[in-house]
Amino acid sequence: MSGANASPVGRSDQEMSKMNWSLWIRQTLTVMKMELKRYVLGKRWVGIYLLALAPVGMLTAAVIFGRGNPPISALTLVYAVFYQTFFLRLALFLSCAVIFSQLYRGEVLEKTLHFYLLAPVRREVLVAGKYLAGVVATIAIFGTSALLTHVLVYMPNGAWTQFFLEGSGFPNMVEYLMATAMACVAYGGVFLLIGTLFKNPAGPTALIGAWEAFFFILPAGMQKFTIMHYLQSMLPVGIDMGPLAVVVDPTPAIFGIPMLIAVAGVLVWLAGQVVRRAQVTYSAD
Amino acid sequence: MALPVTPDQLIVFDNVSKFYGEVLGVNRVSLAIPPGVTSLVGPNGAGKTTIMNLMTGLLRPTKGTVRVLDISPSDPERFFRTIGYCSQFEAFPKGLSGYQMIRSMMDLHGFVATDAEARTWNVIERVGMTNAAHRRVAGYSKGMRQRIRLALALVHDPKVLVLDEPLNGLDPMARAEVIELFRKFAESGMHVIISSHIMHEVDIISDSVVMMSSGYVVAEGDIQGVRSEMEDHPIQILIRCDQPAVVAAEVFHHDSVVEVKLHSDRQGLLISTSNPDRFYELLNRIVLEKKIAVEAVAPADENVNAVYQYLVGSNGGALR
Repeated sequence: MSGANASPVGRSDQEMSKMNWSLWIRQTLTVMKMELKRYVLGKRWVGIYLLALAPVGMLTAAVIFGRGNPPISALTLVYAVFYQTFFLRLALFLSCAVIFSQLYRGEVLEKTLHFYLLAPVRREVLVAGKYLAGVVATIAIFGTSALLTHVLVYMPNGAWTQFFLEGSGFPNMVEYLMATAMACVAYGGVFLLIGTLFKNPAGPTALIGAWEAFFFILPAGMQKFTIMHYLQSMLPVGIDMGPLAVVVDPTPAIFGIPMLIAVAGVLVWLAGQVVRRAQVTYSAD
Repeated sequence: MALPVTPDQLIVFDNVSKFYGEVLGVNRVSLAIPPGVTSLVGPNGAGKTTIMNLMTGLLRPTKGTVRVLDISPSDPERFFRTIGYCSQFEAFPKGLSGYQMIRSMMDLHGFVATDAEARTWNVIERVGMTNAAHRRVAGYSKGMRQRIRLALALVHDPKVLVLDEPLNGLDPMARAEVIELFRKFAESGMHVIISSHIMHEVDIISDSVVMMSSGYVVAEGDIQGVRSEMEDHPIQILIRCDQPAVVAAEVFHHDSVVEVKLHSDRQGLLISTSNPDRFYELLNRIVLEKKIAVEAVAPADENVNAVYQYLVGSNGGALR
């Protein structure tokens, strides 16, 4: 083996700096692929799969063993309550907390961070790759769950296919899927940053969980500082939040989606800045 | 005349200190390490791994700067193409095989797929891991993990190779092969930085040593040079010959000779001298005049172990 320096494919440093963008994209995708390989098929996400797929199992059982012919309007309301309470506020929120906060913190706890930090990769690129892996995984898991539950919930009604093909079933489903994807994008950014800042993310997660879950009792101006406000605004059906709810005009999706993406981008950038200063001192962590 | 060494040929520590909170890692370290094999020597806790982690950008100095071939660790794309680090960290990313780990590293380096694949298999073969390449790293033995770490450090052909206790976990055959490999790297102009607490290995491998104790560099340079600067400790010279008593009698009242010990087998003697050059002249004269058959003459304490003991042992000497 020669001692010659190995610029990839024989390029000089100057050429390398010119091609940085393509290199960064390739490195980001490599990190993403590695993370997906490590986590998605691993045992550590079993709880998350259960949380996401339990409603699918329950609704499948309801379809198989259920009787009667509930009206579409009732099923629409049932799904809205299920989605906005259990799915969005509990299952998806907690799963994003577990997945994204562990993307960086998990490496520190398992003492494997040095593997990435010894690669010729900018740490911001590393963080971006990990974040994208989390987004892809959570959207795949919870998107699938949202899609299946949305179809299954209507199946007890005899005209459910008509509702999807001719009624508002399909557009509603797209809106639920969009809200699911945006939740993954936005909460992903939040918990990625938390994972880089805190040794134990439980405390901040509980605070943010309370802030997001009870966003509807906040004054109108402050609700705009919650992710849930924008997600709720994307949903096709509202639910009654009780007497303490402060009613706020929804933010149109055309503003809400770019807003959430921008916020996530800023949070990921901040996480990159934290990791940029990181050192490998496992014993101290 | 040798060409002057430029910063892009050196690993430079400029007044570097590293504290872990209030705990000292290393203090006021200034080094300029040229190409060749350099060993970091010292007991556990001396600061060897801290130096290596600083050198590879895994730690940032509390004070001072580190540059490797004039590249700062804050430029990771250039820095980590230049350096390969075989660390002592036991953990590896979970769920990956040895092959997948090295191949992923190649992708992170930006090698095109065919080149990356070829290099991956080349280095796997080189460290003797071909048969286990597709097994998960979690199932590897200690020696196999050491080999895969070595492969990760070597796969991109770095100019600087940093190896923290690289011979740990290797069997004697593999140790000999690896030592030979390091020598070849050094001969090709690479920097090979090795930490070890096994002194006789350091003697075999190293062109120069950096001796550390409690976070401080106590000496650096080639071992003969370091030894010759230790005024407080006379040089010990071992002589095997047919008439050791005659030699002893002749040298005993000479100014430069401090101590003479005859071997119990009456076939040799150990001489301590404060002026080895003058002593060797004297010895030549005695051998010729007395017609003494000399079997061997060798410095007895011009090795890393002895020097380290003198420097930081209970009778620690002082450098000029």
